[in-house]
Amino acid sequence: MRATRQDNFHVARIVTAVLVISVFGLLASSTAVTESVLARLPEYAPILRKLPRYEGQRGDPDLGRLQASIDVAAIRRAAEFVPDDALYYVEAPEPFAEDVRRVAQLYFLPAAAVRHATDAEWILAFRSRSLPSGVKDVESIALSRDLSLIRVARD
Amino acid sequence: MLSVIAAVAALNGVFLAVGYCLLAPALKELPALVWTTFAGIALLVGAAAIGVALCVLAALGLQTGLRTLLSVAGVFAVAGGLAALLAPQPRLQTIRFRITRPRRSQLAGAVFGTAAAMFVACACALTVFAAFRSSPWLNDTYTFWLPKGLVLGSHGLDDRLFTQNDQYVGFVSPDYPLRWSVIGGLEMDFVRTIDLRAVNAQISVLLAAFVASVARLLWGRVRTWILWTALAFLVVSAELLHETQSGGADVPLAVYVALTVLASLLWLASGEGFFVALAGVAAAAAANIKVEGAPQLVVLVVLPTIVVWPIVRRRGAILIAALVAAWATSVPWLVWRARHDVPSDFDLRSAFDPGYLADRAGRIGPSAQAVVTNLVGRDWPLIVPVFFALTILGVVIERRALWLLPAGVFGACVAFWVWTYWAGATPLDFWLSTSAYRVVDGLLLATAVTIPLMAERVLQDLDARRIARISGAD
Repeated sequence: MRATRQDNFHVARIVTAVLVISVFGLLASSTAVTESVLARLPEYAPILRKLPRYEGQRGDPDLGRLQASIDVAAIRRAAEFVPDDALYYVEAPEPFAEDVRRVAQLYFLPAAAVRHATDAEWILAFRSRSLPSGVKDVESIALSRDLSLIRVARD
Repeated sequence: MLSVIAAVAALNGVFLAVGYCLLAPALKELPALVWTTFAGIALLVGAAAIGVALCVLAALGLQTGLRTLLSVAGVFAVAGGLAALLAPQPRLQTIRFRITRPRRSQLAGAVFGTAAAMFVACACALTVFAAFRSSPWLNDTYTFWLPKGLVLGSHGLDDRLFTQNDQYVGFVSPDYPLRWSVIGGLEMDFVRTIDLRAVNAQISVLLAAFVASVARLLWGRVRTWILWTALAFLVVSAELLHETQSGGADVPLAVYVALTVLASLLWLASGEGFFVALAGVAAAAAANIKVEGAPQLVVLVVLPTIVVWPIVRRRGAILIAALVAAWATSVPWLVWRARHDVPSDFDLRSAFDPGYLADRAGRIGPSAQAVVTNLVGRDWPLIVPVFFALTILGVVIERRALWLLPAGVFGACVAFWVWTYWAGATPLDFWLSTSAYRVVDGLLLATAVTIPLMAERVLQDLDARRIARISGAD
C-alpha cells in the first residue's frame, strides 16, 4: 500500500514535469504561441524575441538610436590598422562624438585616445571633411561612407 | 556564436572547478550525486574567489589575463585540495541537510512543487539561451566595464586611462571597482575577439547559478513547494530577465548581495561554519563589483545583526568579522585610487553634511518615488507584495516584534537609496531615469531569498496551532 502511494507520487511528478516542459517547448518552437503570449505579456519580449525562430543580435555594441548611423564594422576594420602602442584622436560631430569615441576605444585598445589632435598619430574621422589644425595627412584609409582613418604627423 | 558558447563554457568551467576545490573541505565524503547539487554554489564561489583575487593582483600592478587567471585558479585548486585532505572529520557534518519527504497529505504540494521547479528550470534555460543571442543594451558595458577589462588583461592598470588627466581620454566612472571588468576581459580572452554577447551570457549563467544555489541552500529547510514557488516569483520578474541582457554589473552585484544575505541568515540560525564562510566570499565579491556593494550589505546584514545582537551575540560577532575581512579585499584598489587621485562620483563628506542636505531636500520626494515605484512596479510584480503579506501574517500569528525586522531592513535599504540620490551631485532626473530601475536589484533579490524562510515559519506556526487545537480537543 505504501509503495503504491510512493509510486503515485512519482507518476504525478513525472506527468507534471512533462506538462510544464511541453508548454515551454511549445513556446520555444512556435512563433504563433510566442506572439500570442507576447500580446498579453509584452514585458517578456526581450527573452521571447530571442528564441530560435527569431533573429538574434550580433556581438557588436547596441548603439540604440545611433545604430543605423555608426558603422561598427568599419571601426572594427580601423582597429586592425592602429598599433597597440599608438595614440589616436576621434574627430566627429555631435550627437555622434561620444558614441564614436567610446566604440573606437573598445576596439582600438590598448591604443590610447588623446584629447588633442596634435598629440595623435592616427585620427578616426566620422563625417568630417577636414583635418583638425596642427596635423597633416600622411596616409588616409577610407573605411566607409562616413568613416576614414588617417595617419597624421604634426604640421 | 560557437566561439561565444565555448568561451563562456570554458571560463565557467574554470570557475566551477575552482569552486568545487574550495568547497571540497566541506563536501568530502558526501555522495557524488550530492556534489552535483552544489554546482551553482561552486560556480559562484569560484567566480567570486578568482574575481576578487584578480582585483587585488590588478591593484598590485599585475595584468589579469589568461596566464594570471590560470595561475590563480591553480593556487586555489591546490589550496582547496590540501584543505580537504587536512580538514577534520567533524566539519563534514555541517552541511548535511535534511531532505524533506512528502507526507500523505502533501500530494498537491508535491505536484505544485514539481510544476514550480520545472517552471523555474525552463525559465532559466530560456533566459540563458536569450542572453547568448543578445548584445548588451546598457551602454556602460561598452563605454567602461568591458574596455577596462581589456586593458587590465593586456596591460594592467594603465595610469593614462584609469585616471583623469588633460592628455588622454580616460574611462568613464574611473572609481568603480574592477571585478566585473576583469570578468568581461577574461570572456573576451576566451572568445579571442570582442563579442559582447559573451557578457550577457555570463550574467545569465550567474543568475541561473544563483537560483540553483538558493535551491541548494534552502533544500530541506523549507517545504519544496514553497522553495520553488518563491524562486518562480523571482524568475517571472521581467525586469530581472531584461537586465540579464544589459551587460551591466547590477545583476551580478545583486546575486552576490542576496547570496551574502541568505548565507548570513543561515549562519545566524544554524551556526554551521560553511554558511559564514560562504557569506564572506560572497560579500568580498559584492564589494569588488560596485561601490554600493559594501554599503548595501551594511544595511542588509550588519544593521539587523546589531538589532538582534542579544540573541546572536557570538555568531553575530563572527559574521561581522567575516564581512570586514571580505571588504578588506577591496583595500588595495582603494589605496591605488587614493595614490592616483581618482575622484569619486559621490562625495561622502557632503553626504553627511546637514547644511548641504537641507539645501537639496527637494531631491527626496522624486528619489523616494522613483525607488519605490521600481520596487513594486509591473516588472517586479510579486516579490514585494508577497514579502509584506508574509510580514503581516507573521506579526498577526506570532505577535512578536521580531517579525517587523525584515520589513524594517527593507525600509532601511530604501532609505539608503533615497539618501544616495539626495546627497549625490548628478542631475536628479537623468540619474533616476538611468539607474533607479536597476540599483534596486540587490534589495529585490535579497527580499526574494527571505520569502521561503518567512513562508516556512508562518506555515510551521499554523501547523503547531492546528496540532495544539487537535490535542486540546482530544
